[in-house]
Amino acid sequence: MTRGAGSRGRGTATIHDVARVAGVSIATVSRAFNNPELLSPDARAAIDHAVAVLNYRPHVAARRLRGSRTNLILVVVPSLNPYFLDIFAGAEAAARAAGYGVLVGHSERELARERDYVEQVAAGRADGLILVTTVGGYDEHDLRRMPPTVIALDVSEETQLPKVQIDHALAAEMITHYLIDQGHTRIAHIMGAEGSSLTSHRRDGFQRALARRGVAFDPALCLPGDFTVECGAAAGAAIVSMADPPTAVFAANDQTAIGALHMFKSRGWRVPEDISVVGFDDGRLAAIATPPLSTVHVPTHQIGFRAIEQLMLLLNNQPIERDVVLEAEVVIRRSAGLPRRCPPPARA
Amino acid sequence: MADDDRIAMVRMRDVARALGVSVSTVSRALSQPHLVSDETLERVNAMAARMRFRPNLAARDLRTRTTRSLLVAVPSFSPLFLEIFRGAEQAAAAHGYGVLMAHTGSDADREHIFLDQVLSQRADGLVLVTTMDPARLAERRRNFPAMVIAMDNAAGIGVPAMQIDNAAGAAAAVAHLVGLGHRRIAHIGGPPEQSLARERARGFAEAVAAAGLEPAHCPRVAGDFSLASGEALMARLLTRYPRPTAVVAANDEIAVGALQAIKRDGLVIGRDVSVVGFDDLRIGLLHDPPLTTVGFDKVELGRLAIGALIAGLNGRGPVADAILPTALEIRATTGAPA
Repeated sequence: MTRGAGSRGRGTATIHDVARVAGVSIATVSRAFNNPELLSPDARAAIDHAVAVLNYRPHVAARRLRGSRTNLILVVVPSLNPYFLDIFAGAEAAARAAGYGVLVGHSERELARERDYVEQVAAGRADGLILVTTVGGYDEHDLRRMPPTVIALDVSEETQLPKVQIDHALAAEMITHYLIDQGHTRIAHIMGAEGSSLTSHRRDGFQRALARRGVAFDPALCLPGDFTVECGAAAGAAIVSMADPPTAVFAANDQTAIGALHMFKSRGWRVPEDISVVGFDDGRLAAIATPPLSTVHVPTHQIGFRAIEQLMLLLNNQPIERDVVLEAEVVIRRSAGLPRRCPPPARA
Repeated sequence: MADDDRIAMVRMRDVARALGVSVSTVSRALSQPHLVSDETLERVNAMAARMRFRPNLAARDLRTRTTRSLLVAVPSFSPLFLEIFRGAEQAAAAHGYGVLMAHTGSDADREHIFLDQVLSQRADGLVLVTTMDPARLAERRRNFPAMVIAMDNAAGIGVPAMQIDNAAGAAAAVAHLVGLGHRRIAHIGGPPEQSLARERARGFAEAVAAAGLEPAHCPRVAGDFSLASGEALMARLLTRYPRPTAVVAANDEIAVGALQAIKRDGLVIGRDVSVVGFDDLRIGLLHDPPLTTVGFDKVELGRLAIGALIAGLNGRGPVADAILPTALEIRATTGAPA
């Protein structure tokens, strides 16, 4: 096989090609990437030129074989919500045990930002990647160039990347069943952020429970949200002013539930006497809310921990389970009860 | 032949040709977007996305000796540091940098790991949010990456420091309680090996002395900045005789833990026992009743630290150290003693 730069597919130049075009040895090219300060400016310039012309990219896996590991893992979270700190804490505990450090980046659920992090790891700034939820939509082409990656928390089916997750739809169904068991038949759902697979799965589980129990689904009771306290307060205000308000609310996460809870209380509605409220996540705020919030417990620390364990197997070329599903459970505290018998207090 | 050989890689040159602009325009739009017009930026981004162009970061790192990436190393998983990171991210983005957060776990060895990461060019600079061992940092002064210290004193270290006035904040909390008539005020602090905790405890002690309170009635205990430590230590303080009528907590998480213990004992918050937190985090704002606390501009602190770091990287500087003021946020957990 010819090794001339022109005869190969574009972008697949090897270190041999770079050395030939730059007129230096392979060792010198290698040094340019690993110990650039050891090179003369002339050699650097020649190698920079060759790298640019050939579009050479050092092969991450190959570099790992030669021992030039970073011992770093990049964890990308979708928002700067304290909830993700618990996943980070679990990831860090597992990474530290394996001799790795963890860095966290924040994607704001933006495709370009997420892909930029993928590219950074592919360029060798870290050895592996944990995507805590993904908006990437990676296809065959992307997957071939993907650095070692594990998806945490998310349930997106479109990607073949290994995942550590919970069954969001099942958990949402379980907590909706709990509300129906209390006697509720008019239940509102405050949805999560648009574009997040967590949103659609949690909503699907909610609707599935209604369908299974023969409770009519009223689209007017599916309110928009974005996982924040503010959206919960807005939805709570909308509920208070409804002509025929629901008797229970399933919020897509705890922050949303707490926003709604505060709004209800500020309008003179008692929780759970006038309206029941449940959340999802069991984050730091749930147990200390007044009343303490009934919710779905997501094992965040364990998700982070297992994601790193899976990644370590990938990095060591060992077989892994493609799909690890951890248990989420309903936690019953005091924010939900029986449906009210009489109408809630007059609207403020 | 390897699979890779069949993938046609789109180069920057291809994107430039498709748009009819120069390679350097595309390059600038992708790596230093603030240097091009919004219109150009939008056209380049759209075309790059359409052609599936992905920048060759390894080559760029090699060529420019920069990563356009900065590290912010935080000591714990407290939401406080997320707010500082948020400010850091905003300031960095405005200069075309990305920021990653690292966690030191309040371990001096781990601080040095991240210093070394920057020295091996995995990032261009570091904001160290508090340090466990300033003396050890000072020892390696000659072997520093570009660095700024945040929320801590950098005396003897020789890098810019962006701080807040911790002692004054704790003193303001004590003054507020004394003004309400409290004479028995306890302090639930953080771990004394952290300067943040020491400074807040110092402000508390000085203010108690200045107000002429009886030191034996103003006990100081140390938690670990966690909610659980606040709850456990408050439960013990409530068994003291005479019982303190107010508590200054070293952070909001301790304060919210303390509030849980007070509620559990059937005492009335703000009447039987008043509580003041520190940091002004959402956990206190969302608490019922909302927490009185000592706040400061966390996002601004992150912005200032990154601003100083980038000024240093660009050869401007040194930037003057800053000490941000604190402000008491009086909400519903403090009142006159019963």
